[in-house]
Amino acid sequence: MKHIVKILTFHTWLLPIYFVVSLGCYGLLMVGVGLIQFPTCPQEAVLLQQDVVEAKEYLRQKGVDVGGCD
Amino acid sequence: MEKKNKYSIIVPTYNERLNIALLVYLVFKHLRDVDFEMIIVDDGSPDGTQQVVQQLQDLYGHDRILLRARPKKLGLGTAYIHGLKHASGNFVVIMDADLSHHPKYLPSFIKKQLETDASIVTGTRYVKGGGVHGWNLMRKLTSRGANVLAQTLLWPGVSDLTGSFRLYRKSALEDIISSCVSKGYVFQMEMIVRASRKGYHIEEVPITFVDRVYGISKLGGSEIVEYLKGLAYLLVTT
Repeated sequence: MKHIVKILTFHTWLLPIYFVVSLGCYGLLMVGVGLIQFPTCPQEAVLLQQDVVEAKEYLRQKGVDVGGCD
Repeated sequence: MEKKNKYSIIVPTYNERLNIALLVYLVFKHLRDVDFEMIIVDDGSPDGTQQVVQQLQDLYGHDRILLRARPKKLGLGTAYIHGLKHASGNFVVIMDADLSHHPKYLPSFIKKQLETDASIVTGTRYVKGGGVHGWNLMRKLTSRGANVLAQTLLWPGVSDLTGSFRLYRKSALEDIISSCVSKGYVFQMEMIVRASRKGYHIEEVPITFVDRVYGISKLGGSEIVEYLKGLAYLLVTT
């Protein structure tokens, strides 16, 4: 118990370490927040598929080669 | 549009025969009243991308679609420089060929530029109205981590550094691109960081990003190492 208290005591010469540790904590926190709030758009994938179908039909009519590889 | 602006859309391709046709159709669909040209820089795709582009030229006009091929795969950064040499517009748009950048956002880029007179309008996925589809947890984690690192270390003033859907004033792009040395993924970040340091007026518009539908995603594990090296490089040189 005694040595834990000793570690927790504030030392001026350890300031840079405190700074780096808090910067790391801030970074991890921001990554976590970013992950939770990550903006997704599943509806866009559906819309894109509709655009792809429309484009393929038009281009095929006009004689552009859209068949094949995929 | 009220002013006599012309937009050159530079699209680097490698094995995108289907996507490029779909992309061209969608660009023409969404940019009806705008003077623009598309410059397709193909790095010698073996899948016949160039033949498809020639068919598209016959359909839409050889003055609207320019094919500026290179003999082999020479990288993204030099593809833009190559395309830029042939651009006749006073604005340049850079976008990916794989449909992860949807042409329906082009009008909002143009509108934003006209409203704000910005030199650069960059698409961002991380604001309201933007978003990403098709990423797993690992990909999201990497992206958020990379973004937090870059935001904390570089203070770039834009929310999405690695997105590559952007509109540039041509003179600004020529100026910035000449001072960029990075390759691949880091290149996009270097462009926007250098632009920010040079004091260019940068605006953002929300875009959505649907990860490639056709073909294989080109992001690998070594990209992370490259990214960290790039970040360190930008930290000491800008």
